[in-house]
Amino acid sequence: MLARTVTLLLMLPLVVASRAALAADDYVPYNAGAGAEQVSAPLFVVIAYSVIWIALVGFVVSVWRRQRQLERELEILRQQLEGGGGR
Amino acid sequence: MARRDLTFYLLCLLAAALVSLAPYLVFLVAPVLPELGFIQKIFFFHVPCAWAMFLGAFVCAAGSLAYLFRGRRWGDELAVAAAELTVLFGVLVLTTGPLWARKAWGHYWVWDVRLTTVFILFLVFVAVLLARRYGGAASRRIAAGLALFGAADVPLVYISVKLWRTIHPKTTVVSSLHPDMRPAFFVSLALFTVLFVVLLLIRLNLERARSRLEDLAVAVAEKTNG
Repeated sequence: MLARTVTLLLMLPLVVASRAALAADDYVPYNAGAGAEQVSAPLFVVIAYSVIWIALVGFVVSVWRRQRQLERELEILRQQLEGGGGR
Repeated sequence: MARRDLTFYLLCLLAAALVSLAPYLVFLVAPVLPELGFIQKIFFFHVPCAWAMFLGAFVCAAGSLAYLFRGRRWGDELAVAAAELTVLFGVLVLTTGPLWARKAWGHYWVWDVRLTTVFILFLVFVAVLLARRYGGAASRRIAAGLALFGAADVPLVYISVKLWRTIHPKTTVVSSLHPDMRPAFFVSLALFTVLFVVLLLIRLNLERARSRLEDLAVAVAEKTNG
């Protein structure tokens, strides 16, 4: 099973290269739509910057909350042990 | 204070210093070139987020290999922690990129090969976390196998702009940066690398605690059942 998986992974570059060769002549130049000029660049930069820091702080808070949950579970286990099984 | 704790606190201090320095360099020092516009500021955070995402995928794959082939428990713990960071930074890449694209291309999303391969990478690591959480008894091995496929997508993401003719900026965009933009870019890259390491250590600590608690719960159950 693992050998098959590794073989498949090793074959991936071959598939990619063949696909790339086929696609080389398909290129169509892309033109930005008229809407591109209508959006506010500073607003988008502020949104992007805010999303990054909110997500990172959110992740730290999430880990902290899970840590607290683990501590509660540990306390329950400790009480079970001290109470001779707690049953 | 243990050496591990000292290293962790030093990394936190370094991250704090870089958090202060990076926005200053990005917004006040790096010039706004007329042909790129102010929206190009997103680049200074988007690329480091992608770098952190790739780091997460590789660290997850390394942990998965250690778990699959050597049965190392720390490998599984490391893989879960890194997979979560891969998804976190993936969300940031897939948020900041479309915001830039809306201004530059006029669309939030196009099914360009670079965007599509990054999206697949993101989905694979979401699948790793789902498998790990809901996969039942074999969840660790299933998740580890999926992580290897995810990591195999990283080189594909990187070279996609070279293999295919895409509308996404090429990998040469960093080497061709304006000299006055380089300090901002590399400080931002250092910031996200340090942040990645700090977050990984925090998350790994949680995973280790969870793992030990599971052992303890099993031991208590065995003891109480006689």
